[in-house]
Amino acid sequence: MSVGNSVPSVDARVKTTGEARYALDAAVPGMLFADIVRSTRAHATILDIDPSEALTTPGVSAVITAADLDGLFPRFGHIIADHPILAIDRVRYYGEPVALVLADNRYAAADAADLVRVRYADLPVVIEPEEALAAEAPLLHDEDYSLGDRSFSEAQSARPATNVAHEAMLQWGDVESALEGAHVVVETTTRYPMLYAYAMEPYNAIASYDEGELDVISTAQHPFQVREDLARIFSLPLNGVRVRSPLLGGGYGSKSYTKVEPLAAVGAWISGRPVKVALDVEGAIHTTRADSALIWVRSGFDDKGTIVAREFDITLNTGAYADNGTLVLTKCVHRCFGPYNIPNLRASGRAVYTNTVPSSSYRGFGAPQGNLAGEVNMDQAAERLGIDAAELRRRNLVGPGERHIPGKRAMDADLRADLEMVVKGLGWGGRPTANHGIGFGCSASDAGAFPVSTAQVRLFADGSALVLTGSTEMGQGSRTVLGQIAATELGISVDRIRVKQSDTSLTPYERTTGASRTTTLTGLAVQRACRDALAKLVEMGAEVLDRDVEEVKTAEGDVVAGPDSRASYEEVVQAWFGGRQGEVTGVGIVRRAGELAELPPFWEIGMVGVDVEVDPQTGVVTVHHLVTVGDVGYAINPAMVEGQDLGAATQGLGAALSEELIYDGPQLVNPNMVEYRVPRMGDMPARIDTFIAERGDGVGPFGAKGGGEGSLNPVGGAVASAIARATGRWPTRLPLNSSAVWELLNPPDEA
Amino acid sequence: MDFVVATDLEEALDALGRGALPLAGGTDLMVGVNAGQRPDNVVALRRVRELRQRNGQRIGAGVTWRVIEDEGPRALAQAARTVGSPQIRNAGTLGGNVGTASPAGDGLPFLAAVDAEIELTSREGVRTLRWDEFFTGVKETARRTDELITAVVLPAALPGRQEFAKIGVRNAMVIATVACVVTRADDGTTTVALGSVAPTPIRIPEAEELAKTLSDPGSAALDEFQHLVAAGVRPITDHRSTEEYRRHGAGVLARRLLTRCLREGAA
Ligand SMILES: Cc1cc2nc3c(=O)[nH]c(=O)nc-3n(C[C@H](O)[C@H](O)[C@H](O)COP(=O)(O)OP(=O)(O)OC[C@H]3O[C@@H](n4cnc5c(N)ncnc54)[C@H](O)[C@@H]3O)c2cc1C
Repeated sequence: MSVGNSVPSVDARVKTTGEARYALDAAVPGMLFADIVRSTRAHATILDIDPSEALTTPGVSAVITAADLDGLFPRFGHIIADHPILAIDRVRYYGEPVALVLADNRYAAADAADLVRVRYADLPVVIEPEEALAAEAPLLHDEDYSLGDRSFSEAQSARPATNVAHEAMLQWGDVESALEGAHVVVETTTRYPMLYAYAMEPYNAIASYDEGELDVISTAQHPFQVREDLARIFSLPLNGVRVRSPLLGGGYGSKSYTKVEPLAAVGAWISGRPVKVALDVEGAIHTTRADSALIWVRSGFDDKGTIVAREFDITLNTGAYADNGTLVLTKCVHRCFGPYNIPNLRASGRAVYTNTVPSSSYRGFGAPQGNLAGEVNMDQAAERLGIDAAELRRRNLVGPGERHIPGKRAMDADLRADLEMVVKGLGWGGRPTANHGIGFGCSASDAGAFPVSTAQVRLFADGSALVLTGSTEMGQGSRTVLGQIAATELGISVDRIRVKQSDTSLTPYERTTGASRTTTLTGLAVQRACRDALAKLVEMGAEVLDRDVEEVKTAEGDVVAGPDSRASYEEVVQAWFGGRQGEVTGVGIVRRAGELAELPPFWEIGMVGVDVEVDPQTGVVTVHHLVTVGDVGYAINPAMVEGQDLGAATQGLGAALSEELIYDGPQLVNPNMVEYRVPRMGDMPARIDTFIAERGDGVGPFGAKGGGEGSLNPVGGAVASAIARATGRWPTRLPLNSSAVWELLNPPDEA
Repeated sequence: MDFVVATDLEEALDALGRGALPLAGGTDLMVGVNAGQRPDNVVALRRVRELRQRNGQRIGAGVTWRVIEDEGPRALAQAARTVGSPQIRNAGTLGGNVGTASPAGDGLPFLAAVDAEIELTSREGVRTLRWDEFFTGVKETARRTDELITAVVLPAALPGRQEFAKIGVRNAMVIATVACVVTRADDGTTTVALGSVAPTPIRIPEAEELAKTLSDPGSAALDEFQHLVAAGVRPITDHRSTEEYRRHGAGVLARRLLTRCLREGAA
């Protein structure tokens, strides 16, 4: 059986040799190169854009501004279409695209972009949500944007006449009276840093507009979602827009939804030639970042440590435009309080427009922000109650089959067993060593998103098969895993299968590649497509072998109707069509029905721990040991589960210890990879244990459920609590770099 | 734009005389170019063999960090190993580090600690400036635009014990929050030099005086030494760290490095 084995990634060879082709490698004959004129103001009215000098640069063919987009719908945004393709009369953040320069080569385009003269009249600037919510704050958006996707019903849209972009709230029971009767009430406030989801390939797109059809090759994680935005911009039917996503050089959520595709597309629409837009890292940072968060929590416990109530208040800095901030907020609200039995709950939050880079999805979607507050609060409560931190969690975790959110799917995991793996792995409960601390945490994310996936399997006359899916390969290994699922279902070896992905004109519909859903939902669609193909093959086999359909079945690549009546798939296809031709197509559909009627499709578990050492003199933190648990139901490819968990936890360590986008006034001071510090090899813990928990409790193929984000979510809280145990002081904000830890130990007001 | 690839010193100096900007590894210069600072006259130095030579205590300006990692004096090699990434170390040069004169230049504390001299050559001749005459401010030096940094000249006898360390936010590819070199000669003469805590590399004479009297790595006077270093630096607060942390970190680093020197001395 192919599933259950660590089949090597099918892309490993081409990626290692450099032969792999990414969107950035795509070229179309006759294409122009675009460069972006970006706003040098955080908030201003555009008085005038003068392209005359830029247009004299040799090789430059056009300078496009919003004024040139007459006849188009000039904005995009899958939830709130508030994001102008090019700034319309006003800029709302430093770095916002104001004009697009087209030229024969990228150097001419870059030189000319510097020569476009833009005159601004400054408006008051708000960088922090606190400023944006103040009474006298300037209003960032006064237009009424029609809502996009209505399936995001859990968030309310912008409150009129304020900078609140969205609000979300979840509550049950009576929090106030429960807290009044509590034995202990513990209050915590935490700040999660503003992050950039660094991927090696920055955003890029190449668009052609021919014969009324738009064709885009880009770094889109969700090509079908981008197609919707592009269709609306150009008033095209969905079959008039083709979006293709080749291999992506990393995504992590940062490439979900529309980014630079409209820029390339309007360039092609205006110039009549293919147009390529390729950003560098600085441009990418000025396109999308992740939400910073200020979260307040208070929790009440009885004298045995049972939670009686939890209350959260969440403020996210969502930046200048909504993008996927709505979802990040609702997910934060649903994920902050953890997989505990909570009889009384209120979690409310708001995403606030500010004059900063728009924020959107990043691995974990609101979970890391919320979890930091929720889990540090649990650890502080353990200390106050005098109960061991692991024991406090054991007493409160939801059991398998129990519901911790009314109306949502019951818990499809054994959290207590997962927790044991972490605390045992870390040696929790042993004798403390000076300057060392252990921290761990739990999370459960309502993952998988809305279940809509379709897939096709085409079985050819030579017995090889093609799997078609709109799910994108961005390094996570879906091409390999989906191939393994198909191989197992079809009963043929994995090397006879190829997986082709993410072409909205040729591959079937996939809602998104995110929310850790691919193995579970796309996997189910592939599994169903295989079964559909085999059912058709059985019918054809019955005809070819001259038997009743009921007598025929498939086994190990053959159609079998008894001991002496057997034909291989290729023999059946060839005999049925005649000659060496024909193929069988199976279709697999996943929608919100049957075992997927209940949301979320699965709970994605995060269960991690760290052992850290703090240098009390310098504040330098060393992570000696990292433990992750991949509770994935069934590991179709164990090595990839481990790889995902290690990658996720490493990104969590980045946020915990070193990563942060910093605004100094209206401008980012560190939009580059030297000063925005993602972890490097030398920062990795000396010891890493990536455990896998397989209990067959997922709805996906073979009992699988999603992984890949969970192991990021609790890392921030785990590191913070580990540092607290090493130093005796509770950190309340990340990243805990050496300066921050030293300041924690030597607060300015105690000097 | 004029662009000359000089193949010998003469050509390079001629180009400089015509107002060209020197380009060595480009790891500082090109960052500026990408940010829109476009020079209109550049001379590339990589092919100038004279700049890549090392004779005795004279290190050619074009010697890369990669070479210094293996062949440089101990504390300079230690510093070299922390510069950027392997790619940066293959391209970046000591002369470029000196030419940029960033307060965070990792090569500079060593030059200060050993009282190195900077050799400058123009068509008018050669002059040598002591490090503290050369570095005049944040990214400011005493170099005239027609002068090429041809070498860094170290004293004939280098102190037997030398240690470099820096604090940054991760373990590689990081701009120093504080960098420090401590050297100690057999006669107890100690030097303490720091980077990232003042507009230029800085020495702390008071701490050096005190250190001269110390020999025990467990000495209680190390507290005073640490204090003198912290008091002697002039750091600022920026997005990388705070003035307070840098001041404190300078003291801690210097103390640790001195302790290391003393331990080695005792062994
Ligand atoms: C990703 C990255 C990481 C980095 N990390 C570090 C680090 O950890 N520590 C650190 O100290 N630095 C770091 N740097 C900065 C840089 O690599 C070093 O300062 C390096 O030593 C510069 O040398 P270069 O040869 O590349 O100089 P160039 O960029 O070629 O030149 C730098 C400056 O010096 C001038 N110049 C060069 N040679 C001469 C000469 N012979 N005579 C006169 N003027 C000259 C140039 O005109 C220019 O102004 C980093 C840079 C990057 C891009």
